[in-house]
Amino acid sequence: MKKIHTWSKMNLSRYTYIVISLVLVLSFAACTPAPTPTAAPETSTENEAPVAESGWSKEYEGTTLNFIAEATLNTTILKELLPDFSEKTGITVNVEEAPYDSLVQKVVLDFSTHKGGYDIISMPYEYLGSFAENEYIMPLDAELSKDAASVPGFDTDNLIPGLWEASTKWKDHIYGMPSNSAVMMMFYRKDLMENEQEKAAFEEKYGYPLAPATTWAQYRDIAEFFTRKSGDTLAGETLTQDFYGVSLAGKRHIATVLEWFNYAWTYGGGLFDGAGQLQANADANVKSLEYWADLTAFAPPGYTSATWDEVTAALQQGTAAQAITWADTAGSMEDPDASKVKGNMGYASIPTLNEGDKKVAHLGSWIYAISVDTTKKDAALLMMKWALSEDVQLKLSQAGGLPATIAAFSDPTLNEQLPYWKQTMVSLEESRIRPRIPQWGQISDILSEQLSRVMVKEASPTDALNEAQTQLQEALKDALPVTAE
Amino acid sequence: MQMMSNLKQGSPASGSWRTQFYLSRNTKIAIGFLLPSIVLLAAIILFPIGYSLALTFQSYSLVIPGKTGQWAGFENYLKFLGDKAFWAALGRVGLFTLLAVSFEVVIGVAFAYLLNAIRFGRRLLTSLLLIPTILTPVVIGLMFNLIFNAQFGLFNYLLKLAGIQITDGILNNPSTAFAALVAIDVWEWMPFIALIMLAGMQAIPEQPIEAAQIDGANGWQIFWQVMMPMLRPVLIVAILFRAAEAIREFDKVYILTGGGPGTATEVADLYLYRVSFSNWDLSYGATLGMVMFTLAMVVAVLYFFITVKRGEEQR
Amino acid sequence: MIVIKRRDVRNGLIFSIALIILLLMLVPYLWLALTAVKNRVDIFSIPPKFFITPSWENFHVAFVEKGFLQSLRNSIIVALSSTLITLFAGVPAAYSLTRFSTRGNNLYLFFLLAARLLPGIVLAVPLFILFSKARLINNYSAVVLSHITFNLPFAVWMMRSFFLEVPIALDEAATMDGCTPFATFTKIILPLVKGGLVATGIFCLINSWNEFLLALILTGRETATMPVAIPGLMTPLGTFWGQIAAVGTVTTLPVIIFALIVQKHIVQGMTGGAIQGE
Repeated sequence: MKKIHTWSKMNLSRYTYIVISLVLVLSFAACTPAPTPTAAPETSTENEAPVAESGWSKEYEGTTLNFIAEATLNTTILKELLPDFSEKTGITVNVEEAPYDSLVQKVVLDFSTHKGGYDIISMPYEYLGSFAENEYIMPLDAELSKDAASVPGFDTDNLIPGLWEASTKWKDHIYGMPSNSAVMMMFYRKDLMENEQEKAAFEEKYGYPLAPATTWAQYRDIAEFFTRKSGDTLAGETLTQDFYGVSLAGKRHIATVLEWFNYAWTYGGGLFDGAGQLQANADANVKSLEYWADLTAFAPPGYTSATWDEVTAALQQGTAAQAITWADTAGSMEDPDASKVKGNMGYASIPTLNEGDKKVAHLGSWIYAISVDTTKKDAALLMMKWALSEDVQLKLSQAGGLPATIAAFSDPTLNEQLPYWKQTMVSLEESRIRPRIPQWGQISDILSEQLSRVMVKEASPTDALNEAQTQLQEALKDALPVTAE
Repeated sequence: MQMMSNLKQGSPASGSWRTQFYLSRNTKIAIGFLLPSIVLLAAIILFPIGYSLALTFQSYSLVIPGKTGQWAGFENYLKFLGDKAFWAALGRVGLFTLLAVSFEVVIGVAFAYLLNAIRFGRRLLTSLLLIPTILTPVVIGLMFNLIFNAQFGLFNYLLKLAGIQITDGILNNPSTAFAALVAIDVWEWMPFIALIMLAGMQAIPEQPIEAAQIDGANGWQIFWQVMMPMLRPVLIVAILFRAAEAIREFDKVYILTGGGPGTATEVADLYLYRVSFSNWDLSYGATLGMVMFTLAMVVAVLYFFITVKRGEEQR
Repeated sequence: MIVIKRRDVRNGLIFSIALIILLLMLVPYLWLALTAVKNRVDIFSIPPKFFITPSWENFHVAFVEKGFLQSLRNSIIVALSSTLITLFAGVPAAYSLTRFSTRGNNLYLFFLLAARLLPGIVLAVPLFILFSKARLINNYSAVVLSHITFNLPFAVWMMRSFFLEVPIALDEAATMDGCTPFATFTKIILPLVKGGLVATGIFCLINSWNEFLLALILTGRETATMPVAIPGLMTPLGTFWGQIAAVGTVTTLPVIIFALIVQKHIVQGMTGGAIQGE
């Protein structure tokens, strides 16, 4: 009985909350970015936690949190660090790991049926709009404000501001904190680029010196140059298997959509024009897709069923020279157990169409958010703050994960140890976000279908994007023009 | 073998007019016996389908705010008419059904003929034969995923031994992936046709065959002119069953290819699943569900009339 | 003196051909079973290894460490419950359809047939919403009820074919002896179709055991059946083929054993009593 009562009460207060936020949004509609509202009705100040000497509260001792996160290296590392959290707070965390699409499905299933199976989740930020507006996750403005109870080593000022804003803020409210700082960048084989023989051969063939690509034309040339058959010579050694110039994701999967955005944006395209109208079949988009489709000539067979996982594997196994892929896989390139290319991998910004163009990198961060159905909000908050506390962030980084704090990225030891560290921060600064509107699921579905049709040569880039435009127009008709991306 | 289709008591064992009498006076008792099943089915089939039908006139999404069951008129149906991807998926599953069932029938009948010629040891063979058909479809999907793996799969290795070099996995190429799907379905269901046809062949009386032999007919003629006409009703039932199963193909595709590469293996039920449980457009999913429902009803009506009406005529 | 008849030679020849074809057909399954007892290195070796020292590690990891025992338990609970409810409601209905003539018999049989041919996805959407509203997702009752949607129509058609074989004269005799219709059904007729009842029950168990789509949507972490749980072993961090093979073998072995038990009725079972074998 009690449980039901509190639940309905919470609903009511959420309702008032919406009314207030609506008023706020309307009143600030004319001004530039509205300040974060400081007075949210749901404050947790009543819970003055008894703080132990260590600075950690044991108030929620015995609580068990159910947590779901993407099955990645980052999560694996976090899981290994969790006993530290349990020791400090007495809270146990059940971690469920799932691949991207199945995670989203499980979470929507759980949230929409109000099962309360997950107290805290790590979710891809493009679902923020949907989850926030459906009231699946809690706004946490007050809880994450400066005055809220904190834990040692946690400071909101320490979060990378762009990352935090971009990934956790929806229509003036903060819904969580970044759980990692995944961003896309260019991976390339440093050892091959520095090989004298290859350098000479490249310059002779293409008329300019071999160096990490800064434009797409160079990226293509390098891809072509390094595509070799088994038995050919590569950097002075005879190949026992085929070697490829690029690795790319071409499966009908979100990975393909996310990779394509890099090409589209650097070509000057994108899904929406300045006025928020749909422009899937814009000239720049078609051109970028044509370019990408041509690259497949230098990709390992099976790219039509490759996602970021296969791209990572091809790079790790040393069978591809370059890729546009996720920074959070860089850790696994430098893992001697899993990678044959440790120390040989270079990391750089994503090439642009013309030399000197503005750099763009696709941001893919995940965020911690708390389910509205949870009865353990405070324990969940504690875990969130623990995960972002400096000590944990440093340990996470050392083990190959990607942190979300400035301090971790500016840590001198890490900068020295991790070859991808500096570039990750640079790419984060260049980063751009994908649309976070509630219709994202459909956008991704339509685009993954149409892009994969191009990858398997079932359709031309023009036809595929025209078809995407038609389908997206239909799917988004109530949402256009898109003003809040 | 016997077609168990006669609606009323048709078996020779039953009484004649007395039966009719006994049958007709006990509606009340009948309802008592039928009630539990009627109540249960009304609750878990009729009501959900009615609910689904109502849903097709609404907009209901779990991820898009403000779509919680608002009246949408015929919007979903208009969308369905213009949904090229769905029509393509429907066409794909149609082709899949046609190809798979055809191969199953041809190979299955041939295999049944082979088994029918055996006098002893048949039990062992039919035991082995039924295994593919009763295996868990998800496990079948995973099993062939393992076999077709591009790196370490048995299939590519055997091809290599046979001198055929393929650089790519069978499931990574649109046309071979579709062919593989058909082949796996034939592997799984050919035994179904074979077992049914074998049962059919065994029930054929000896005399007409012997008579034909005396008339000098060869094996081929006997098969086509004497056996097939008698087997036709059984075969039709088997084909209808297979067709009804094949158009709702889901498990194997979901596991094997997820509909890819590209859209090469995206069958109708997989498309419906994506619409409903990956895009969470449940009202549209329900609408497409009604389309599949209609298709299933067509098969059901065909089946009912062919078997039941025939059963009555034969009496 | 041993006389080898020509006919026996021919029989032996055909038998051998058929046996070889069947064994070749079963190679994928044998390969799966072999993979289950391979270690990690052997699974990925090229050329594939056919002779290995069996290892039970995959079974141990999957069932003990990864909790597949729970999924096995779930599968058993779901299959048994749905079968029992199905038989409880379906057998009397099948009996009635062969014994009492009501105007609706034809209609009801058609309805059952249509239900049997109904694609699972058609019911998946409404059942998902209705069970969510009732907060029954991830509760055994949701998936059990959903499995009754195909098992009950199947069981009625199947049992009907068995009841049709029992002469009505027996019912009449029992009635004249003063048995109530219910007693006639339970005490006289039901014992006569015991074999059919067992066969029907086993087919219901297999149907439910193998079902994937509805279980996928209606179960959760704690209630996932085997078919739903196995694909979880394909993860972005790698596919655990050895464990998939181990779990796949454990999932399918009972099905094969049960199917062999009811082999006599397999044709009848596969066509829901529409065609009777042997």
